[in-house]
Amino acid sequence: MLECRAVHRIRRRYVVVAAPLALLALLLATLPARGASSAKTVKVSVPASTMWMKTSVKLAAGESASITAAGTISYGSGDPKCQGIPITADGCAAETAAIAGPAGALVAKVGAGKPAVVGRSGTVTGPGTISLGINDYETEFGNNTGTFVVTITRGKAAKPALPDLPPATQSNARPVDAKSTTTGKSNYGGVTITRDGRSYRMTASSTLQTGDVISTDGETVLTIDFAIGGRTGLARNSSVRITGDRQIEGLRGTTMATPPSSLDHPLEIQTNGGILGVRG
Amino acid sequence: MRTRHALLACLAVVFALALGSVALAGSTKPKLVGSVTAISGTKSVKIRATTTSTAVTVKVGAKLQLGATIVMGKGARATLRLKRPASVPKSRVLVYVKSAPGTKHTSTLTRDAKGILVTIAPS
Repeated sequence: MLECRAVHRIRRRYVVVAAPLALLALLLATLPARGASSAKTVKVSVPASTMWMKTSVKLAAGESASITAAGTISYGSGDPKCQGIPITADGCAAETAAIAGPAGALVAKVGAGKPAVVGRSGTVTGPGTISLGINDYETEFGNNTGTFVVTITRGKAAKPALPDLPPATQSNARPVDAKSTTTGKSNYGGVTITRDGRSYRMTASSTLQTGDVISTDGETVLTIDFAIGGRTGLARNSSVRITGDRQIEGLRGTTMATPPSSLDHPLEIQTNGGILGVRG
Repeated sequence: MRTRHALLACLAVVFALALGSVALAGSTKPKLVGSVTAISGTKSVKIRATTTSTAVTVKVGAKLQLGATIVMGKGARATLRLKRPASVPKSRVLVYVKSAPGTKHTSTLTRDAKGILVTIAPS
């Protein structure tokens, strides 16, 4: 009986310890699987005998992708310095081949673009589908052995370049500072102005007029000063419209307002799609 | 045995420190930045003291905590009198004003010798 109780106690202890451990193991096991299923990263094997291998990664115009390669190959080198040694994706610097750069190196081309050596890590830019290969002469691929395991990670899609904001016909406000919340540095590129239905890029010397819609992106905060006094700040992902020489309309996100020092010129802020924060 | 005693003593010290810090954090007095001086449409003006607290109906004379949110309902008007305490930096937001969904309000901010006057009216 006593023995039975002891066994039960041990079993219970085992369950208490083992259950959380099993749960933790399950959680850890799912983590790499989640990463692999992400469409942002694609893993491919590039055999050394392949001149060009088309991947499934198609880049948009301006979109970039980083490429990293692991593994070694052999390409039947004629140079004693490169013979009999495992060649990494950086190739053998003592010998050159069809594409300017070390022989045996990993090369890439995007669409009908010019091929270039990528090596163990590099970046390519769209538009087009990424093709990968080995830097060797066209007739020499038959004696190549080995495989490079290549990881392609898509980068951020490049923003279309906006024109600079033209000078305002009647300047009501001007920017004081546009700051990136991630780097802490000046980031006027994160502010878009819509004037008469067209989008523009804000600069430090921009002047704003009635009707302008000012929008900040997900990492930029903006401060603007009104010509008559008073200061307004825009949080990340926020939009306001200038509706007068001392009035703004909050459209989205959070607008912070600091009233001007003079009582003659109160600051008016309409809140219909956002939050107003009052600063002292 | 001595090691076990030392370990227990360490645990007791850590526990006491944790309790102390919790007590200190709990005793922090909320900073007051002003009050509500006028209201019309009382039932439709609500206040949320912090982002996590529930919204309660505002009455005239209600004190405003630093970072409180005033939620303006349909047709509601309110006047707030604010003053930034010396210990609060200029960059801090004293109060937030938000219009209830489907409503529009205009806040007029003026500064005088007493501080900041915020008049919120439907627009």
